[in-house]
Amino acid sequence: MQGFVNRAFQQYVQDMHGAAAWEEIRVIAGAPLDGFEPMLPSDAQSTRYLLDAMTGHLGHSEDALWEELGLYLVTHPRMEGLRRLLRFGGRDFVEFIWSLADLHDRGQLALRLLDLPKINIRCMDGPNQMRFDLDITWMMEGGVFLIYGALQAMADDYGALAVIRPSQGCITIELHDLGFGPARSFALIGQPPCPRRGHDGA
Amino acid sequence: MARDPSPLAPHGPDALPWAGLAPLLPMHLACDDQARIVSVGPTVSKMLEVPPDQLIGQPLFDLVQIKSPQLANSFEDLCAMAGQRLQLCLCSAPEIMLRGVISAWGQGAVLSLSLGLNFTQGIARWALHMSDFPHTDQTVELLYLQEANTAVAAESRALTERLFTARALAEREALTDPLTGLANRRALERALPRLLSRIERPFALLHIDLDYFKAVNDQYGHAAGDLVLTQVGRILRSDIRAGDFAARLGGDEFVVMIANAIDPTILADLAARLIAHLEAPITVEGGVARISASVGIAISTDFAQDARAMLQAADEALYNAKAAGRAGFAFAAPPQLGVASPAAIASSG
Repeated sequence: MQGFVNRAFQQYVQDMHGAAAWEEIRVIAGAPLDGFEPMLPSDAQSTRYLLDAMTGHLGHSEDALWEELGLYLVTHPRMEGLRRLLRFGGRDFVEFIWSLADLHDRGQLALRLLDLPKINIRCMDGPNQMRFDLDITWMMEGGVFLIYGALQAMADDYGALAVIRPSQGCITIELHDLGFGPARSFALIGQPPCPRRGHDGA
Repeated sequence: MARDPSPLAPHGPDALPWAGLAPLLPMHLACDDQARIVSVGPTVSKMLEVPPDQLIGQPLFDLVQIKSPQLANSFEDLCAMAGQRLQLCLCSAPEIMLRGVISAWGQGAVLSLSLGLNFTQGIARWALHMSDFPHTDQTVELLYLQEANTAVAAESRALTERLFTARALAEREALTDPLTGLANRRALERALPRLLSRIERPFALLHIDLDYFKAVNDQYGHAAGDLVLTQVGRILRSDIRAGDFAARLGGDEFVVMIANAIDPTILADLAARLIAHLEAPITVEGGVARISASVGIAISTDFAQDARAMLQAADEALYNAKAAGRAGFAFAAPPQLGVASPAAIASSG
């Protein structure tokens, strides 16, 4: 799993901060010359070094890095495949939230090696809004902020208006409007991946 | 076929709660005992490209064609297939096979459909969305898996390609002499047994040792020595044909493998020509280097399949050539009977 995390951060840095930034971080973190291989095992220490190098070089806090990674994984054109896989979770944002209970198992269905966060969901209906509490359990501390970043992007993707707040081991979602803005298109049979024209999020 | 539809066990004269079927079975068609449509699920209506109300009353067999377990043309045929796994298609899309099951319902029957294994075709053809499938249907999960698998397979293939390229590069480096770009000793030792095993393709080995090379090193320095070695590599490469093979064993020792050549006259010509080419003056920094070479020649047909013996014989011939005065060549003697192996002596004695 560490290999996937390392590789995800690598692509995030390369795509969002450029090849020069990655080269700098790669050297400081002592990462392999050719970058990380997601399908091969890496140890937890390599992620530790990578996070230290990124916080130092990019000037972001660790929480912010995980959040940015979550956003990147869902919104970057290069990651369109992953966004599509997430969209299979449900027709609207509520169904999507409920599908997160299956996130870990869905990941394993795709690839045994994947050990995605386990998410436990509780729903509380308020008078004007729905509220969800998501308990996140993962091998790394960054799980909450990773999911937090991805959730904000997915709310946009579905065109939903939601207030999302991270806290210790938990994320709270207050859902105000399911059809607040235009949702990004999703057809069951995807187009072959092509670069998007521009960012069309709300 | 039984004419009496009694096995369908009607629920009662008015027990036709069609309205409740749509969310449960969005891919259903229900008919009366005349096989006329009485209810149609929203997804099926989408697939037929006809609004539900316009489908009511139409003959079922104008819309679907049941292919197995047997062709069905009447309500009685349908009843006989209750509970079985059906293969069918819509008359409007005969190329896409569907799965179905039929069951008694009131005075009629309900046919529930699902996409078969070619579900992607169906989804594309009818532009189906997630909401067109009931929550219990795993088709969307199949699509998810298909996409996830494609992504994982692409990643695996990319990894394999990267590793393969890296390995090929490492292998080539491991078998190449970095200075001259010729094969190295390891490459020769790896190739030789394979060459010897192809008895029908005899070859010769020319073991070459440069003469006066040490003097070049002493007089002009190691950089000049390296330049001379590089030039030797170039000469050897240009003097051999495709299918031949030149290697640097180390220092100023080289081996050339000449394929399909065992005629001593031809080989002697070749050795003399090589020596002459190597004697051409080479301009180095500070002057002109002049070298020559001694050559020992061994012929594969003399050495059964023993690579080590062949190399050793070529080496001995080289030594003889050197001993006879430099800038010459000598042929290796075939291994002598009796020296070759004690077993051979034992069996002949």
